[in-house]
Amino acid sequence: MLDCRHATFLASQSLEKRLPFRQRMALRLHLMMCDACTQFTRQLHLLRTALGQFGRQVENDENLVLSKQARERIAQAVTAQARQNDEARRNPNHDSTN
Amino acid sequence: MTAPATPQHDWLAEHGDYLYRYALARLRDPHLAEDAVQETLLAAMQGSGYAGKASPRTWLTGILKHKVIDHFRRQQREVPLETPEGIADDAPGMEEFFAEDGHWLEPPQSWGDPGSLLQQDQFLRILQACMDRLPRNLARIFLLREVEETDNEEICKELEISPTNAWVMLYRARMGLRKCLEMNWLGNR
Repeated sequence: MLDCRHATFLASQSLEKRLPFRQRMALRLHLMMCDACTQFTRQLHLLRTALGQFGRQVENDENLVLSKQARERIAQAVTAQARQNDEARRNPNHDSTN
Repeated sequence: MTAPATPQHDWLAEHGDYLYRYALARLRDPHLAEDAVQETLLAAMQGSGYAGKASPRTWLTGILKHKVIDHFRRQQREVPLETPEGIADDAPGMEEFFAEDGHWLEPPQSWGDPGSLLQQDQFLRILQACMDRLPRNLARIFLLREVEETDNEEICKELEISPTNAWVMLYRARMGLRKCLEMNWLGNR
């Protein structure tokens, strides 16, 4: 008989791969009899949905923007890189340490 | 001094915020996210450059995705995954959650209707706080799996760990997260 500890590991694993037949049956049987692990399984699915939603929410949250300082710093880094690329193009024999 | 205008400057103006948010959702740290945006734009200036096949945003996001994974891999070297000793498929540990006979010490509670739960800002806030409280190595693999939606095979390849190790880490992350949610969110409901 599967105990709750092993059942929860299998439930988590089942989100990653298709379980072998015997494990799948053992888990199903356990869940039929165990309310706690059934709740646990529901929570796992909810966590998956919530994390996906969380990611999309952050991606679409227009209040989250680069700070002015960060934007300037990045622009400067891009400018410096552009100069370096230009120089490398002009002096193809010059050994630029990149 | 006028900066030479490059396509990357335009991209920073047009897509910088989006790239920042994309990175933030995965790295969970504003400074790391800023650095990832910078690395992405610099990488976009190397090699053959933008080929115009995809939209610039899609192309840049593809580069950023690799920067994020590179970051996870670097972190991995600094804070290696503990190699769980003697962990087999059927023995994931977890003494803090289960009694010796394998039963729950504190059986999970019903969280109610999932649909309405996900509408609640408070739930999502606590979820974030709980993620930040996970051990870093667990948070990392969990974000890679669930937010980046990287499949298990790719995770194992990128982080150079075995499938069993990945399953155990994800299991521990989920156990920790749901416990934290149950304590902090159900308690507040």
